Amino acid sequence: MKTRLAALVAVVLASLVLVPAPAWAGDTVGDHLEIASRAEYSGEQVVSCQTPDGVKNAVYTLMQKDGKLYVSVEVDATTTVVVGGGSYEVRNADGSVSVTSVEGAGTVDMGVRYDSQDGAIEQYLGREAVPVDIMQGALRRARMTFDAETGALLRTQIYNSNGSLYCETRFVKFVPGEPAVAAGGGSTTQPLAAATDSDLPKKVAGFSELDLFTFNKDSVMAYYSDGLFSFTLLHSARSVQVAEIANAPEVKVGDYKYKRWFGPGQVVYVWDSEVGGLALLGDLPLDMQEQVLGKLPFPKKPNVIVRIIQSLFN
Amino acid sequence: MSHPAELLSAYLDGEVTPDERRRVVEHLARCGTCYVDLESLQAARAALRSLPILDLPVDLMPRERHRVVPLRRRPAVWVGAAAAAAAAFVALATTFAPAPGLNVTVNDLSRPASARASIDPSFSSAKVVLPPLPTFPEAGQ
Amino acid sequence: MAENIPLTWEEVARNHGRKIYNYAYRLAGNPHDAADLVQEVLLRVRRALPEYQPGSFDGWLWRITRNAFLDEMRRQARRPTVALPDDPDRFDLNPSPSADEALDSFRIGDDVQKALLSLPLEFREAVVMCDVIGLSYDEIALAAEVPVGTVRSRIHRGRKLLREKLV
Repeated sequence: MKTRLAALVAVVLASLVLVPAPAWAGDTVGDHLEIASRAEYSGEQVVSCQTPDGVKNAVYTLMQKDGKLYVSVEVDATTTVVVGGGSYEVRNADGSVSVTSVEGAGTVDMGVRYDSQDGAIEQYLGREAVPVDIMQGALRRARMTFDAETGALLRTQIYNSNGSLYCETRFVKFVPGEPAVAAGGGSTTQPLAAATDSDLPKKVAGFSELDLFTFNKDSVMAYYSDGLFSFTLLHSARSVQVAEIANAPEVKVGDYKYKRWFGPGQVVYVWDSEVGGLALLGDLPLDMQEQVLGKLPFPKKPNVIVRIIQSLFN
Repeated sequence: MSHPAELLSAYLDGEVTPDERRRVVEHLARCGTCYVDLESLQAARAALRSLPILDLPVDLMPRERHRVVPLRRRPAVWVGAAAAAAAAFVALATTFAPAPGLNVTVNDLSRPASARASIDPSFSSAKVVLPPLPTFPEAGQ
Repeated sequence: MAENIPLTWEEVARNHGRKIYNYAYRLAGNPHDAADLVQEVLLRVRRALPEYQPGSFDGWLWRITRNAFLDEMRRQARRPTVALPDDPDRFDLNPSPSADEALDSFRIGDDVQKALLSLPLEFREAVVMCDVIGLSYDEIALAAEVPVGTVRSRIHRGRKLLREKLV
């Protein structure tokens, strides 16, 4: 039966976990982010990325209350994704629910890779705001602009190594004060099952593996972070197919070819390696993507005879 | 207050509680957009109700249906000098035929990051993953 | 709702056959699949009737109907050479010049039927059950084994989409 486009409705059930203090030494951006997480506000945000596949944009409706962030997005007239703090719940139009939570999650010290410095007060959306530059050595990786009054994070700008802007997340409408958040339905939260072992490297191009999960009997999912950016890596004994991007083209990154897709704020790479199928999803800028891929198992090149046979019999 | 949306359809069908009905009626009094929506829904419903009720075709008698089972295709039998080479080709093909793959969705890949929303200090709305227009799960799954 | 539970599949056929036929016809878009479905449902009813527990008869019957329809869709999907039921080109609109009145009714509502066939199956089914068959939301929820809220949502979206296709 031909599958059809249909509504995906995602709803978050927020757990009652308040945001813990960030796990780094008290440099300025850490303090800012902690205060930002306790602000109360609602509004609309735009994410806009300059990618090799063109500009990717999305508009979000945002609310924060009691340390929990509620994000909802309209992809088209019938699709909504909502994410909140603590746990992440996706509710499909047919009523099926999938809830994810992470327990005992690893942490990484952002200060290992990045320094930060406050800038002079500026104006944003008619409000006083404090810009903070996140420096990777001499390179400015990000600029986060915090609202002077509430501490909320109003805008984040992410830069590639050549100084060009990769992605920008910014409020276009910001309403401070306690938002009216609709109560979520009831359901049981299930943690992602932790895996004990994998062949994946513990450190990849400045990123550390923080969590490891079992995806199914022959696949694991690892979560890596460098404190600012992060990515998920799925490793399977089988070839991985990511449903929505089956028709994505192969592109050359470094010396190898990967299937690649850009979304607003995210990139997905899919490839087959000698050790199995791999899929990566993350928010890291372009040059970091190449660095990370360069430290992971490379795509395998099938030999000539196999390729001829496959084309004969497919 | 936000628009009642799905409640409008339920209201049309009389499938609302008295409270919900009151909310809808009060809202419709103030909201032109929703009033137009209501008319739109009414038109759709009327269109469906205008479909004729068809009569059963004559001689629709239940009978045991014969299910057609597709015959498995047997590999061709090669005769002569080419047989050995062909056999080698077939053997190679089955060795290298790709194994069934693992199907995942963009949503699956985004779960670890999104679940860390309260724990990851650098979490922002940009970490919410928007899949491309999603495909619907197969009916009955 | 209180009713006389039919004791034989012939009574089911007599009392409900027409509705089942219309359900299948509106979902599949052609009389052949609809006829096949009626037969399949009646077969299943015949087999299941001895085990029927008093409850909601309509819910029970429509669950059987719905599952039979979905099974048939899946079966057809495995044979890609067969035209799929939701293929609008398969809509059988081919009356001979000497068409009798029954065939005339096929022609009425062409646009609506075509629009219906373009809806995703879950929405198509919801609006057909509600507006063509006349089931209540509770009955639809029982048949589709989803909460009433989902039924509301599907009917609403189905109607909206239908409306867009019809203008």
